[in-house]
Amino acid sequence: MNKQEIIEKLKPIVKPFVKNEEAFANLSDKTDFITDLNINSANLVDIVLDVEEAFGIDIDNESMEKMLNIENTIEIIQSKLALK
Amino acid sequence: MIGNDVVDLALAKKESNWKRKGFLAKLFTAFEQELINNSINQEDMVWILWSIKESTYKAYQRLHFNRGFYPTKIEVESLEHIGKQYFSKILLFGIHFYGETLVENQVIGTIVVHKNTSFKNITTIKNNSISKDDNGLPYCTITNKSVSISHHGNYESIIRLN
Repeated sequence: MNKQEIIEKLKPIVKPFVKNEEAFANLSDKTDFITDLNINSANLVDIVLDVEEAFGIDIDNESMEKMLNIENTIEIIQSKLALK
Repeated sequence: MIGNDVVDLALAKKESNWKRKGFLAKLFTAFEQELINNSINQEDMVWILWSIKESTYKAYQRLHFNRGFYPTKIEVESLEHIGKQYFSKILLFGIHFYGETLVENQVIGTIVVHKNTSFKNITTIKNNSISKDDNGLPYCTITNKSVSISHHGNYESIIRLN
């Protein structure tokens, strides 16, 4: 799956937790879940669990640590998909 | 070094489903999950422990800036319940922190400090003269001292060290 395909699949996962719609409309790989989208940190775990489900992957704690922005999330998804 | 967190329990109920599969395992250590399982009000306990972790994370950033989502590394080692208050001891990256949590009227408020003696030096302040440093951490522009801010739903808390 390429970067753009992953982003398109990520958007509906992230959307319900977004508190800054303008930043979401301008989403790029540099977009940060907390500082840009103002997502409540307690909802990061929901994004992690939803990503696991949607992509059929397991995200270990070490990877989860870095899941604060779109760029890192794409990298983690790609590396986990490669293991399948 | 201080950090705080407030949880509006009514909003938390809407925003999160703590019973969903995998939720507790990704956020809480075995000891913390046991505290939740053994609690009369499990939902309150989930958010008490979460607010302790959030506050500890914020306090830690003042010692060593290290952004990340590592909830299970923030270990609540002990939790003592007296009346409406919970007193906790927390370990993160080899450093001990101490927490005081108040649960009252559907809101949970936690303050965590690096040294146990600092609680008496904490003041609640209003939202003015606050700016953020290069790491995005808030400080008072008048005194240059660190502040910690938390808001959730209808509640907000801003504290600073004297």
